[in-house]
Amino acid sequence: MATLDQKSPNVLLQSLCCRITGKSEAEVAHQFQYAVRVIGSNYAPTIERDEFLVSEKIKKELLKQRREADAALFSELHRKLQTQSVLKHRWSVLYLLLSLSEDPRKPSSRVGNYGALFAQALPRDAHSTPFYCTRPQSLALGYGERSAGLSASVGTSGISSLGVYTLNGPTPTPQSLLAGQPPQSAAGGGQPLGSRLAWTLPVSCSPSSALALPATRPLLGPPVPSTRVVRPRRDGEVSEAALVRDILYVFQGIDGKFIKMSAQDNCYKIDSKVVLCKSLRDTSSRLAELGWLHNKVRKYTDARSLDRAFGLVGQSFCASLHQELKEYYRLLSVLHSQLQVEDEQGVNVCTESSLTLRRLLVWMYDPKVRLKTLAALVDFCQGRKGGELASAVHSYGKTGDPHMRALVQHILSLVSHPILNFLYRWIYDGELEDTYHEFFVASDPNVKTDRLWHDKYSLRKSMIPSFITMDQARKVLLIGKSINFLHQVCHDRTPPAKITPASKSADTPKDAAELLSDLEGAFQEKIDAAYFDTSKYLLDVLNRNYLLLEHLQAMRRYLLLGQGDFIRHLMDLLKPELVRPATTLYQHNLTGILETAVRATNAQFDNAEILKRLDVRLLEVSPGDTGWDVFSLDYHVDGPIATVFTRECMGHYLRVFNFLWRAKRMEYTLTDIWKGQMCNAKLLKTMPELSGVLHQCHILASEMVHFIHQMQYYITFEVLECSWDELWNKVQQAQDLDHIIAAHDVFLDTIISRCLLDNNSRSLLNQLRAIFDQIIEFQSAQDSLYRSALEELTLRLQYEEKKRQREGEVGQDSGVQGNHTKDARLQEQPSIIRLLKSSPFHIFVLFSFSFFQSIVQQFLVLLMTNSDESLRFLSFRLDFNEHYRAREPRLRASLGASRGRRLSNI
Amino acid sequence: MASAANANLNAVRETMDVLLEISRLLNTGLDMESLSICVRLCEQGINPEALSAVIKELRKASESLKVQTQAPKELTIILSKRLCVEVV
Repeated sequence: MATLDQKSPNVLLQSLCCRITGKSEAEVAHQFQYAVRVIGSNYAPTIERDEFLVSEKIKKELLKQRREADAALFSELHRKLQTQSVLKHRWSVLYLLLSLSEDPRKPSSRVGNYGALFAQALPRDAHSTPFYCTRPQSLALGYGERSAGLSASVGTSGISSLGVYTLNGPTPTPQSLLAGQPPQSAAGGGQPLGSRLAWTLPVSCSPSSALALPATRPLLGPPVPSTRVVRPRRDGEVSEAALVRDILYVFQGIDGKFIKMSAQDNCYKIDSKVVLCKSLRDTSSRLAELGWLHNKVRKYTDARSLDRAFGLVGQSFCASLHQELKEYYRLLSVLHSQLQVEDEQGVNVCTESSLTLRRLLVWMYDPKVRLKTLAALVDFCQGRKGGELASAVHSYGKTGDPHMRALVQHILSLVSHPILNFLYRWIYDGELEDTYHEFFVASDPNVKTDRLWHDKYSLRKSMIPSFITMDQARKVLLIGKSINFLHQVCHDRTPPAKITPASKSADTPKDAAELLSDLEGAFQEKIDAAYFDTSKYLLDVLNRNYLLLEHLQAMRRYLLLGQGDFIRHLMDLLKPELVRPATTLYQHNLTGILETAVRATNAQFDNAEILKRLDVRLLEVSPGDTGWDVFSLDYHVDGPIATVFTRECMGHYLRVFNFLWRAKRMEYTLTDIWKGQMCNAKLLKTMPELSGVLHQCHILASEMVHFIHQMQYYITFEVLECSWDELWNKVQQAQDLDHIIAAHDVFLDTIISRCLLDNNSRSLLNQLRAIFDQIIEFQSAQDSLYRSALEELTLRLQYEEKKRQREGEVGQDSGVQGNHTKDARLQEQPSIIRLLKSSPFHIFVLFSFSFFQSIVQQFLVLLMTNSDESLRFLSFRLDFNEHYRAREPRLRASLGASRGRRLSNI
Repeated sequence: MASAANANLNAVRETMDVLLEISRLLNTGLDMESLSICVRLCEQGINPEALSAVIKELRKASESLKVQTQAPKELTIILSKRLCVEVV
């Protein structure tokens, strides 16, 4: 008996019929035929073939009957059953058992009910009047749904029979059906008596008790006979069950029979022609909102999911929306199947859990909130993409509602996944695969490698997701930039894994979610680690392979005249060349001189790599320029080094060099002046008429020397050394290349402004230039003075010589005396002329003296009013003994004013 | 070979016991034999909905027959008519 031998279904069916009716085969032929037909016509099951669902239903049923222990026992048995592999269609067996199950607490349910039914029904059948009249109404509709099967016929028998009674008026007969029912269903049973009342409270009763309107819903949920209520039909009246079915369609955005999308109001509306009580109408309108929300979300995803330009972030946003919609659809399908089950055999299964609008309202509350959130998101995200989209989603995550937050977080984790993928690709491999411009690092393909660091990559501010701070974004930019710089400019092919040992990319959205939840911790750490490793590696490469620091020092030594002996020697060698007009200079000559200077000084011990970059450069020649005006040193930079020493930087260096070179030349010139004075002082003592002029010259020269010395002191110590020290410290502490570049820029800026080369101190510089010019002029004037003085001197000496000779000759030969005096007179003539010629020189010296002083005074006034403190200190140095102050009232005033100001500041 | 068949038999018996227990829990009113027939039918892919409907109807018919011995003919006529209509 227990073996599952394969007999044909017919044989089995026949034995089943015998078994149940307890009669012989011949006697049950009729029933058997019927059974074969029913089974044959309902071969395909209409319910879901899900064992789990069925078992859950069984448990629910048991629990409903307050048999918790049995429910537990059932789960145990079910588990046992699952371990056995004998049955292939467990769900079907279980389903069968479930359908056959009866509540043991309704003792007479089977025998009594049917007995009573038939007992009641038969006499009427015997009269055979209303039964057959009413049947076709309900039965004819059964054709529509084949799957309604026999269970429906069981119900319809109840419906029709009861329908007869109610149609005939509220007779007491139905009460007999309720004899064995528990009291709670008695309340339902009372409804037919007050069916009018029931119309006004439709939501309070379950759909099974609501009337299945044959005209609209054929065979809807044949309910338990005891609670069956048949209301009188009214024309146009819509039952709640029909509305439920409609609503389920509306939930998916499909127009129902009664509830339709109203294009002008942009919402779902119940057909105004449909007669419906207000509460039902309200409830369904509230439910219909879900359909509208669904449509909104759906429309967005449909429009976007095929739009490739929407980008990866947008795609994943759509995917996450789809995921949510799928959950929603799943819920709808469960509801649908519930409805179907009710339709077909809800009799046994779920009386109390059947669908009503009110139930739907409760059940759909959470989905509604979710859909609302999604719709709001969709609204907010309209027209955004990439990081902007992620920001938008992120901003929605800042809510107090934990469910909503969880939902948004989930979406965010999906949305940010591609962004994080970009990010990891970027910071670990330096690759930017951002076809749709969604990432916050932008790359300009037109930029050549020499400007890679500065111009190629930039931040797209709008695309920075709001959960990534600006600082982090900058670091991210820098990391990838460094990697690209290493690859493309430094030609360093170290695999990225070696640079950043901890490189691991986020592979799944789950990782992304984890990272998102810990933005301050793990994410920051990751970025920081990558930043430190990459930047450190880059600096190492630059210093080791490209001698960045050495080049920096070379700049200081050569372009900023730090290497004193070399510069001095170079100037010595260049002097004869540079005094010539600029047009006669040739670069190759100068380069030769430069090499000589290098070889002769300590510069020769410098790195050959650096020396070979040192070169001479001639500026543009304007008419009247001498070599001094156009000469400058140059330093060739290329490759990675050029990133720090950019073209602008080199321009600045050039300007500073020219300034320093000029100042140096003044010092050099003054040295020459002083040398001339020292050498000639003794010689010219014999010419007392010159002593006044010479004295003036000495005073002027020493004033100039003082000025230039103080200037040089200021430039060397206050400007160069201080800034250099600052730069060097910064460079030593620099964490990335940007720090070095920034420090270098600051260094250059400081030097430029302190050397009075910027726009603000143009007037100062002009004064200084004038002073320098004055010095040059003075030098040439003094040179000519000395030349003529020395000429005069030699003439005088010759004259003396001749005089002495003549005196000697006078004694010997007085006859030729007349000739000689004539001669001496001739001899004396030129010296007077020359001395007369020298008197404008005297005037010139006096003039230039006062001119120089006035320029210096103006310079001092400007210095005093300058905001730079070191420049004000320079004015104290220049005027240490208040020599100029005594002559210049403006200086006094401003000095006093500034002192007063300073005091008040203290 | 024999032990395998034996084990299979055991498994089948166990399964049937479990099913019987469930059936008892659910108060289906099926005895061992009808249950086994039902299980076999189900295993052959019969729609359980239809089967349960058949069983119920059969029961109803037999009970009504028992109760309404005095009018068996009418009932069968009614039943068969109704069924014909239903199935068609």
